[in-house]
Amino acid sequence: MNTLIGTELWQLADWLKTRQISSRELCLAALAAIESSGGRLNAWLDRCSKEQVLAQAARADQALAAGQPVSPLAGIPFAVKDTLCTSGLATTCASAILQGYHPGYDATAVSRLLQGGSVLIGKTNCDEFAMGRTSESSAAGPVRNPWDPARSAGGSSGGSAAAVAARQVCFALGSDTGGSVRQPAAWCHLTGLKPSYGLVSRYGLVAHASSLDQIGPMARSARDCALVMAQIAGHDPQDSTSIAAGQRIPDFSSVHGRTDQLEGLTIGWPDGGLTAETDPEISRMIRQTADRFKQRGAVLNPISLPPLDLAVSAYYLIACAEASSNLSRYDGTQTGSSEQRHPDQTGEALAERRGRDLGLSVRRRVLLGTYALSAGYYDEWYLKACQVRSRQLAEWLRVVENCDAVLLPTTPDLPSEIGVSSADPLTRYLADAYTVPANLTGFPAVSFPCGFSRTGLPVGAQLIGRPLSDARLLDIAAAYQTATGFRAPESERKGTAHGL
Amino acid sequence: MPARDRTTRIDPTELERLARLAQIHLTEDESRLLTGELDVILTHFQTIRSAESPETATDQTNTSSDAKTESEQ
Repeated sequence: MNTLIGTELWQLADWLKTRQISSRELCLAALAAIESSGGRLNAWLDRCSKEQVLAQAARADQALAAGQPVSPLAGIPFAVKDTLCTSGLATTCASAILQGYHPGYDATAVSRLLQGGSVLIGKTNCDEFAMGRTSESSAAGPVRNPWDPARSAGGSSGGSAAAVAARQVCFALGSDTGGSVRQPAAWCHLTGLKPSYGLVSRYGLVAHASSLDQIGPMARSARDCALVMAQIAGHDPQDSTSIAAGQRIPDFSSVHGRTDQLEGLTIGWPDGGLTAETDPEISRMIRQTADRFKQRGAVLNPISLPPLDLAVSAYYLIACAEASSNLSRYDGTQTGSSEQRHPDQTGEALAERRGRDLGLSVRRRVLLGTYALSAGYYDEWYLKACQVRSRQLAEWLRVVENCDAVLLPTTPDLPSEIGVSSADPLTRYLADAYTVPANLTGFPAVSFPCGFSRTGLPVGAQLIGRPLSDARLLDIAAAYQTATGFRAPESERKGTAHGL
Repeated sequence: MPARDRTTRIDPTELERLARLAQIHLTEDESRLLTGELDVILTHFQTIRSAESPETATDQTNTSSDAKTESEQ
């Protein structure tokens, strides 16, 4: 077990700053962990060479030794989901149609981390174009869960979650369109944040559904996520939907996880219970999580949730409509498997390439979105979905006005066995019921570990808060983690990653 | 164009229309599979068509410019 990489970021930052460890030592430990796993998790799609990693580490060590002002994450190795552009590494979104694509620039979130001295290790596997919840739709094959390799690491940011959970990197970036950071975080016993819409620039994030996509951190604790957010959040002139210049952003340096803040905290708790599809064991554990908050002085405030079934329907119609538009640009003339790259733009050749290089899950969503947008159906489907979205926003605003955060499960189900979950797309869509409201509304939401099932599988709880309450949400989750130990120390007690 | 009444189910002809619009080739097996799947999904999503409209029906959050076209593409 790689205890150095498994250490929380705030502790590593302190050790690096005081020269108790070096970035070189940390990065060599990360590379050794990746090497020893032998690719069994299938978490990586492309990686920096050892020389490139050590060159980055050397620069960070020099800056730290010289006492230069660097970010708290300087010298710390991290991973990036393959939906974010990186110069020097391929960006394929785990799709055959983008095979060979090497963008000449870094996504803003990535460049901010690199400018702060963090060390990029590589790009992680995910569902194709981030469309899925098990990472099984990747053209490179499924990502395995470090807690049980027969099961999925979740998705769509499954590779990022697996790499952090298996202690191959200290943190990772994912992207969350309908739960794709929170759901794999829950299944891999990590903390993951879907930030408020606009808080993190989407520049350089390959668009899935532009009005829903957000980049978010995945780490061992809420406090660690706050450290990452402090680096990547803020206005970006390259993204017109990012938070306005000069607008106050959440103060992530205030996240300390002090348990006394739980006293008097108001937690919204659905008085109508959880969805019928929720695994009874998960229902029981979320109830236990609520009780733990209550035991530490929080008040459980009964709330009526806006209808989750309508949220799922609206989410999928909007997400698929936007995806059908966003993905229409991929024609396989510049990228894709080499024998198919040619300038033939005729409709038949184009359809042939898109049919061959886009996976079935992506094509299903593109067709669904095409249906919702096509003439004669637009008003009845896409426009209706937008109206439901507006209504959900109004209802959720009323809900979060009356509490500090709403507590829900992150997922209704435990990590699925690889191969089993692929059978029924509607069932998979409906399993996103707890995560899609935060994307529809643009609200922040954090998933954090709340324990293990009887069979030893991780379970995640989720807190949803009002817009731009990201730091507050992370602080509440951090306080819960301080009080209960459901973060890295728990992983060690249970024996993480089954030797992977 | 007037709204189409989706009283008929998604059938192979409709799927072929969508695939042509999306410029995506499908094999016969894929067409058969997706026809059934999309029909089940859209039948489930039908509830949205009867959902009550909010007062701010056109005031959607995070409105994307990427999905604003109603067209046959």
